[in-house]
Amino acid sequence: MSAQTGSWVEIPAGEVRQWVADFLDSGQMRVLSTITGYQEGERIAIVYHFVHKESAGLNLRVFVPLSAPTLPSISPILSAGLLYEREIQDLLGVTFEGILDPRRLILPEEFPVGVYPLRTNYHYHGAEEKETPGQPGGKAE
Amino acid sequence: MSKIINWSRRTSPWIIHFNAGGCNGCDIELVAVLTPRFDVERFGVLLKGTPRHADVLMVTGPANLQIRDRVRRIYDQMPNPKFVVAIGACAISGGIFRGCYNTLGGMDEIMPVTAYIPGCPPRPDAIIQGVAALIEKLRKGD
Amino acid sequence: MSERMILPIGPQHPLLKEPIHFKFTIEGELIVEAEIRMGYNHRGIEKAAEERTYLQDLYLTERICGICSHVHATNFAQATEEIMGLQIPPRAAYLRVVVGELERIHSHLLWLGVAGHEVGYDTLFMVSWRDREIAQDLLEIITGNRVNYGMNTLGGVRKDLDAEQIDQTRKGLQELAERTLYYGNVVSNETTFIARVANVGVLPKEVAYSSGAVGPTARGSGLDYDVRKHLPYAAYGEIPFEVVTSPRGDVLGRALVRVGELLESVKIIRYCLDHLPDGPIAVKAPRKVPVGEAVSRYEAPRGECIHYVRSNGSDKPSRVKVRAPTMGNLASIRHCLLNQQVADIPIILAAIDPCFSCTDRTVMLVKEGTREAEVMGWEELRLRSIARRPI
Repeated sequence: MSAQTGSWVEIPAGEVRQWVADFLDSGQMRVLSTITGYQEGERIAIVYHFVHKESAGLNLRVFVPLSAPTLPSISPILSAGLLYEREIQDLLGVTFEGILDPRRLILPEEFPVGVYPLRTNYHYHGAEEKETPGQPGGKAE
Repeated sequence: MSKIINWSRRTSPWIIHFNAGGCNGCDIELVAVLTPRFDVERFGVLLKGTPRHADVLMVTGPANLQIRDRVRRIYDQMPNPKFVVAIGACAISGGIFRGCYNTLGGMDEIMPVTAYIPGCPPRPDAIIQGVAALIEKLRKGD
Repeated sequence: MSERMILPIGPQHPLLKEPIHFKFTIEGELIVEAEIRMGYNHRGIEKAAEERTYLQDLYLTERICGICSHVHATNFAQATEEIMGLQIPPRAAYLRVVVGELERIHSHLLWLGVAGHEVGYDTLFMVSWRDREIAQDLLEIITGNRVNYGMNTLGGVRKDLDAEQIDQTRKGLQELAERTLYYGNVVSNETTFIARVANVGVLPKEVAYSSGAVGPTARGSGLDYDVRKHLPYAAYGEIPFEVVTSPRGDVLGRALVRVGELLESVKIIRYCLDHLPDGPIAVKAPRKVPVGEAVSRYEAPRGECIHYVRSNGSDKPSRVKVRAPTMGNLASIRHCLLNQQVADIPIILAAIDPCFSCTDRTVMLVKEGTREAEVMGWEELRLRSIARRPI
């Protein structure tokens, strides 16, 4: 793996805020680049992509079950995490407990609540199959 | 009456530019048209800030759910006669984003379009050519 | 002087159920609270990327942003190439840098024009966009297009440089280098411009750090992270150049950084042309990608851009995650705006060089302690700002 990808660390989801707090205290963080969420079967992975001061990437991965996708928010201790967590709430339906601002970030207001486009059960029609002009296709199964 | 309107339209179409969720490629080429290298003002074309004074709506981007009603409202606020120019592949058909869950399939899903300038993005020269063709069409009184 | 009522990138004024994109609470002319709402350019690209092949996604990611399309195409290519275990030829690495730095030049000149326009200095807008055409011409000579260059393929680049193109590029660079001295003079000595940007929109270094700011926004506050230097990609590991920072923390600091970077970009391109390795410009990429994952970072004109790609062994990625630099800088914006004047809103927002693909421009001013709200469009706000703080 390149220095850009860097190393991988996996911890239980409940410990993420403490881990990040320790990392911040160590002074070794150059930046939190972003947080990624993706679904893998019956669980959702959350990956925190950091750059370490020794000029390498550091990726922290945690898992939450699809049935209870909740974990602590890091926004109270690192404000850089806020927008990235909000985006994952919108697109994957994960709940970050203690998040500083829980409002919808990027989906339109009229997008149905409880539908998460990046979940694997969300399928949308290509334009060819669209029945109603002026509406995007797509629904969860 | 329509002859007078056509005459005044052809001498100086006033344009409003609206970016309906595009990548900005078309928008930058459209703005470049106003800069010294291309200088569209020699055709008497002026860019206005408000729809209420505009004859022509130049629109870019694939439009998404959030922006759809606003584009339509801008169109509705323009006085008649009014014309819509869809600039770039996205405004024409959704472009490379056609079929994405949050995008539409072209501006003519929202309102009537008068002219289409294809490209991804179209060059400033192509945009000027499209504007000139529109002016010609207005001059002929279509 | 004819009426030029434009914002270089058209304003988006959504008036759906929640019209607010930036919501400011004001006390007199001071901003006491600022909120941001995104989403007006949300197209669903990450989901679409899962339904397309890697090569199709190269063209899709290129159109995330029309100002920095090579950023996204290269970043996606790099992540995919890493999963494939591909090493691109050295000549391709240098060519990617040439196009990337020309893109940085056009983008920073674009920004200079926007900044000038926001403070009512339209001459600066006209001049910088005229000079920007030099970079656009070079991009067209090298890649065949002014925007969305299609320079990359998986495994390298698609277009080579011949002696004549190199010669034309050198001539264009000479012109750009001279013009950059002019802009350096403007940001260093032009008192009317400086009065509008000095001590405005201050972002302290600690806040830049904790809010995750990147690029000139962060470097203008003294944070020295530049992906090209700290996590070099393409040919940057071999190319000498300086990371430009400013300790000022204000809008002027960010302007100084961008102008400094213009000069560095010219130097980098010259180095590439002088040291262009021989050899092929691409290696063949497999259609199916082995199972794996990779992170790629790129120093875009606006800051660090990150792509994360996951492969499940098929010909389509199972996840493509993109964080463009503006999202990294948005969190810092609130801090830059607090306790500033309403008249400075346009230039403070412009100072992070927001990629307008994802930011909206309707503003709502709320008088603290009342339920009165004044909604205004961007153009109105800009004119009001110029009237209150004339240049």
